[in-house]
Amino acid sequence: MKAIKYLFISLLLLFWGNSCSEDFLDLQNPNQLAESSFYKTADDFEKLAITCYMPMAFSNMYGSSYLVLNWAMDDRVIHEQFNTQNLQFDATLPQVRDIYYAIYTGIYRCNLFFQKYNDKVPLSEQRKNSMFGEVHFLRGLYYFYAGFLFEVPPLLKEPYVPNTYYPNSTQDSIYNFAEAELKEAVNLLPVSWPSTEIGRATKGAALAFLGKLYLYRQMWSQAAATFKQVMDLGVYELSKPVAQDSLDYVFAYLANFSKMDLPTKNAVYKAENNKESVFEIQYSTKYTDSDGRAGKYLPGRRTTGSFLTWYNSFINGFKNIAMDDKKFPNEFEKPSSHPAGLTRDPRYYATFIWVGDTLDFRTNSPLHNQVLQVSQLNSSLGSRAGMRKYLYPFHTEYDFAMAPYVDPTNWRLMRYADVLLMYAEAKFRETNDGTEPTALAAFNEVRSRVGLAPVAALTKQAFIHERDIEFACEHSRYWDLVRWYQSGWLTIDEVRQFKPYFQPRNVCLPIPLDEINNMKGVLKQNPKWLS
Amino acid sequence: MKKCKSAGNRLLGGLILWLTCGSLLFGQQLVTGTVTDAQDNSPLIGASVYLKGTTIGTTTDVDGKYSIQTTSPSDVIVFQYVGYQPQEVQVGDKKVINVALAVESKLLDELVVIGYGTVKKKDLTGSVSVVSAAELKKSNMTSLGSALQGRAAGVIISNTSGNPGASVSIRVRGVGSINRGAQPLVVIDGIPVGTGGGALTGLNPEDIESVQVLKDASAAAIYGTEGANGVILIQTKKGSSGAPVVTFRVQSGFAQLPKRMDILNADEYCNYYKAAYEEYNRTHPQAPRTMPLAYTPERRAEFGNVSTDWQDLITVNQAWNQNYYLSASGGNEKATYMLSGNYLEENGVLITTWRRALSLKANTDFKITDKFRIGENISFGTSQNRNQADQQGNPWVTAAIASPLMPVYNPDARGGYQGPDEYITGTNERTNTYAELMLNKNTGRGNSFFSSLYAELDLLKGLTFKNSLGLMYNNSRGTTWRPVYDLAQRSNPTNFLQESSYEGTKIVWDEQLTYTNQFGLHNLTATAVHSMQKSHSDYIQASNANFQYENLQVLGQGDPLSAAASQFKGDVRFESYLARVLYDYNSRYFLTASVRRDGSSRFGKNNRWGTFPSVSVAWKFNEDLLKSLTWLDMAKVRFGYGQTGNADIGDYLYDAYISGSMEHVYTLGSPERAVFGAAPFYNIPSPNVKWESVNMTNFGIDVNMFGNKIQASIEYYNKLQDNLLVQLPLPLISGMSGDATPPWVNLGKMHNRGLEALVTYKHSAGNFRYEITGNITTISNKVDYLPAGDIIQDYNTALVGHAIGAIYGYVAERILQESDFVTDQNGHAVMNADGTYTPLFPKQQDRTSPGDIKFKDLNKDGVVNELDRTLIGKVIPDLVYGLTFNATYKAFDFSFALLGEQGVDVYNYYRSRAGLASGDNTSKDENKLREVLNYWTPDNPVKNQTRISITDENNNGRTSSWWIEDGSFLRLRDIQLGYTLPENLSKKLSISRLRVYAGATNLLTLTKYSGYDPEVRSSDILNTNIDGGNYPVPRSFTFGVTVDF
Repeated sequence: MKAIKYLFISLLLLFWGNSCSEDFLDLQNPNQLAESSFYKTADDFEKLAITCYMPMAFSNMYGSSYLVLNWAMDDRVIHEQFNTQNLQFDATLPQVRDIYYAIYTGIYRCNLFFQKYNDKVPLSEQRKNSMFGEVHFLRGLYYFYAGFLFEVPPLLKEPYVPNTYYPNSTQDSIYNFAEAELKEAVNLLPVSWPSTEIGRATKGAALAFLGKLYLYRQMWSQAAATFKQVMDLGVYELSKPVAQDSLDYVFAYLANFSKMDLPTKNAVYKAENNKESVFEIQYSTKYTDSDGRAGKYLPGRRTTGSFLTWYNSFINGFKNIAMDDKKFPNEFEKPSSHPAGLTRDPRYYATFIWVGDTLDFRTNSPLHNQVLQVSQLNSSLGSRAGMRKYLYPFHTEYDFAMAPYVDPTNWRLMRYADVLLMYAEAKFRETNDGTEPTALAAFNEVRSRVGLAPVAALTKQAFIHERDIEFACEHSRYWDLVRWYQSGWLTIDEVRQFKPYFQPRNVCLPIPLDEINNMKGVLKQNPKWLS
Repeated sequence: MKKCKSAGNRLLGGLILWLTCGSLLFGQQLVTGTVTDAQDNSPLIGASVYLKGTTIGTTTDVDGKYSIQTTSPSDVIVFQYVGYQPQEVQVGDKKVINVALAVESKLLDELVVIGYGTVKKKDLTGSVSVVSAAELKKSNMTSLGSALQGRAAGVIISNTSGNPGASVSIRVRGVGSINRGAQPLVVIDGIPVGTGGGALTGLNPEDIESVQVLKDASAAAIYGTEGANGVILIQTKKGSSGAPVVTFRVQSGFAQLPKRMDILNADEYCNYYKAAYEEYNRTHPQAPRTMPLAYTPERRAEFGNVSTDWQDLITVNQAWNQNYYLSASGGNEKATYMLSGNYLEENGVLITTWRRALSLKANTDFKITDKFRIGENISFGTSQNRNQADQQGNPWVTAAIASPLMPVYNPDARGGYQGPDEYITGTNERTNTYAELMLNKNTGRGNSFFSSLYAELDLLKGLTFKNSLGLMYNNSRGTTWRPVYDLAQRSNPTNFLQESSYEGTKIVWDEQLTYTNQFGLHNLTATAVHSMQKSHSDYIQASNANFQYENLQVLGQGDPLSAAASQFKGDVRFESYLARVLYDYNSRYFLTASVRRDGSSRFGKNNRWGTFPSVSVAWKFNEDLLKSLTWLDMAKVRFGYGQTGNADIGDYLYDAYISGSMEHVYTLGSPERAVFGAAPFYNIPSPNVKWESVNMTNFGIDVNMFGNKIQASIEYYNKLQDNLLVQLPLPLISGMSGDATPPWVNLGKMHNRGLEALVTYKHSAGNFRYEITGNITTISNKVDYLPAGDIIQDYNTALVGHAIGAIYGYVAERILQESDFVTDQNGHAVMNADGTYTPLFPKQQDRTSPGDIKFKDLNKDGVVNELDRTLIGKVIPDLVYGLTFNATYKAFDFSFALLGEQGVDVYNYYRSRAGLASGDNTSKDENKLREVLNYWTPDNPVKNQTRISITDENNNGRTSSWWIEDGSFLRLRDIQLGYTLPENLSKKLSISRLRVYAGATNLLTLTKYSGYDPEVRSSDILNTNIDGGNYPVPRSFTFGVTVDF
């Protein structure tokens, strides 16, 4: 019958799909690269190693959050985040969370590198050594930050395993691991790189941070010996003026904070990756993400919220930073005689820009005859001085298009002046001898670069003063105060002369609340932050 | 099949009548009589009385009387009245004909669409809500989603925004998922089109014949892995055989903001901050702050002492809209058709926002032979809109907090507007939101095409094979343009253009075999279906910047170095088999059983297929047990159980990926060069990922009484949700939480239980006839298990043992008074040298002072910290209810609809920002609500406002119960009054019907909530009931005319 035939055909139609179902339902993600096709070639591992550098540059870290938090905590900088400046914050402060995340992102990537690497990867022995050195260096560096900022966060030597809860570690085990990593890096890293690779970690960088770690642990002799090794490498020197002109004195120093090289009539002072640079976070405006803002993945510091760039600070910027214009200026020396005839420490001119000051010291600059207007400062910050250090170069000359969002200037994480002063301090505390010649020489080398007379003997006060001036607005100040408080140089009342609302808990940051919640009671808040 | 004569026959009849009417005059006779209601014998006024097959007719008067001239004894008089069964009487030799019309019981024989078939409404075994075209007509809404609000028990529809064209959030019987899609599947004319309010966008209520919501799993199981959140089945209007009907409707009206916030003006603002700085400096002797000069009279005078009301600037007083609809339908026994077109223009109450939409629709059905039928349904819609532009902050909030000292315009600035400038506005650098709305453009265009074809063949007696193919195509374009403009601190120095394009196609192919037969008293319908679905989507976004000519807004004109592009593709496939049996014995005992087997590309390889069974039974027990109760028309009990799944879980969750190198660039070398990296594990793999499952039982009783005047049903449902997808959290130390998708596991458990009741009462007294329908829904939701423990977000949470979405925070007790601190002999709190006060209560912050909020030390450890947080608000209402009233009196009709929610909270973030005297953490001297002027001081120890400051040192603005408000409301959702021209008048105008009407929407809302609108919902349960400055749903007034030809 005809109808039976239709029925048969339709039943057949109804169920024919079955045979091809599995193929029909099996789809490949067209948007992303499957993990199974990765971690095979040398190039894959080059890519992985490079990602280990990035978290330092994230907006969570030196891209923005770390900068903002440290300027707000710095007693020489006035920041409009009053509560943070008055140390009135807790474990919910977003910047604290950001920094914690950035540090552990770096650690995760380094851990993953070691986990995924195997001998089948075609890499030359030399490249393998240096690559391992870089990753060990970075893992050591991240753990150094984890140790001094958070004291007791977890210690992970392997990549995170989902659904696992990691308990607190101790500051000692964090520091011990960081020390081992940096030592490994010292052994593996080259002293220098060819010009195409500048920016990668070097032996000197690993030694300098190892020394700083010893200094933070008050291991004076190890610190001094390690800094000595950096000095003995012979590849670093201060950016010194070539002529005894005032502009040379200012620019030789300012070149350490500039994107562009700074010219005087006598010389051009190299800026980024110069001889004084030991390790820099490399920034650029060249590659940005689609929303035009950098910092998350990309090179370039996001500067919304800081007194950084030409564009933001003067035309319409977020004027949320100014300088302490009451106490701090008096800290700068007024030399009775200076080789260039300056009446103040040259660093004074590099640190402050006052209302009425020229915007640019270069006489041929179109901005030379423009001065800072009072309207360009935030009157509620109650200061008549801005921060000049990071104004160089002016973006009108560099890459105006990206200026509002991105500051492409490298962040100098370690400069040779710091190595010299830390060496001197470590040696002084080791020997307790204010006239120990190598310490005195290192200390005075930093002073002579700016044309100041040498000191005859080292004292606690001399170190506190010199670091205050030399590293003004460089994120050193607050943690120096903490370090000196913890090592007995400053009492809590002395610290409070600088930071009136300082509490014992403020020697570190709280572990972010989000993370304590994530860890379901396994991770505890640092006891210092519990009351 | 309807009993109507075909159009051809009627036309022929009419012609014959016209040709012969002269010769038939001798047989004429006057017939009179009364038309009454069969139930209560009350006269029916305005009933139409006409000679069948002619245009000769009249209507009854106020006593129900009529008189009509007949032409021959063979004439048939037709008596018709809306809502009653028509009657036909042959004249014969009668001179008086009295008729009593019975109330139409057609409602009971109404067919309900249940997916892959229909049943009579009275024979339903599962839980299905039905909303008819007649009800939709009573709504003034232009979108289907809003029109359905409050009209179906168990279905909670909420507005998410007042933006023209904004979609609604729809939840059927509680919350179906924690993290994944929780909105019901929408099926239009048998084709599954998508989920939730988005799938309803663009549907015109006028085109809808009926809406069914499959609520329980025994009904929804037929949709397997797409049925877990309920299914909305929409039938669009089809033509019916008979004379062509042409309908034209024009509607116009306007919308306005129902409420304004009371914000400080410039004088109040300056005085307020003068006091705030003085107070701050008094308590911070070691770190005083200088008040910005901008707040001084001298500086203000420089700028003309402006006082800008931003709220006023960004809103439109009367946002007009208009809506035109034209349709034609008709057909004969072989073919029917329905064509319609609609044009809609709507303006938003926020300046610059608008939407325009045009849609056309056609469907036809053909009987090729007695056994073979084909048909199609095609619609095409196109729309354009302008949405709220990208803003540096939400405009509603910014309008409250921006400085009133900022002038709106500045002719010297590029763009013409003044922005926040420290010199003029001090620390307050909140943007000129009016300028940003005007300058920045965010426009969209969209086209949607829907088509379905079917062919149906009767193979044997009762056996039908149907093959249908659905094809959908959507594209949308979005354009964002930002010109260069100067707004001082909020300037945009670089112009920017972004174009985004989305394209989606979906093909659904169903083959269905249906067998229907009757064996004595046994009725059987069996259905088997094979279905395949394939969708593809492709999203492309491109942008460029630095355009030399701002009038030339095409991507190629920007700076090539600034050009950027991205793309995202998606593919989803389903394949399903299903079988269902509908059986009843003697129309008293019912059984429905179904099973569906679904496979999907979304599930991990280990779990590609799932099986979803269901069974439900019903018993009409009145004829067995209560036959003596004559007033009882019908009584039925129902029980159902079924399993469904939720496949709305996202694509490709099962695999692990590396994120692309373009996102990870570092620079090395001198000169700089880019080095690309790769971030590992962008997705943590979840190879076992599968659908979320629902096990649901449903128990219901339906009763019709007193000649179906009262119809009631009540049901209880228990919905157990298992295998809910939960993301194992990636802690910060994983190093991946920013970039990566954490792994998904099917481990969560949750349940929703509740009662739904629906009662309809109809009554007619003379010319006055009315109908009241009320519905009530209760929901009790609880999270039963979460594998990785509680989920706590900034506001909303998922806590085991509690309802999902509950708001979490501190418990605010009261305002701290001086006596809460160490006091001197006069009873005044003693300020220490550093400006602090010594508390006599558990420590909160270092600088907690009198006038701050006291938070509860819940764990009594002497410190108020994050451990002292608890549940402070609920986001799922205890009770949702709706009431509709429809009445007619003579030519007038009147209707209103109420909508209410009880037992729900709203977190008023807006007020925590703008209504807090103690400043905020950013210390931006934001403008405030006027209520802050009554700030706490020792001399004014108020209990509802904090002390004054410029920075919130006690963190009074933290998430706490201080900002929780009762979000219960009762809203007059719709009200409409219509007048239909009497038939004798409209006939003179050569039209068959003319109705004019006026209505209002959201005319009245009774609530204690202090914000713009208590209905603050989002479709994301973990980010809902937070009033962060939502676009308020406006109040609107509507006027319209409908004409049928």
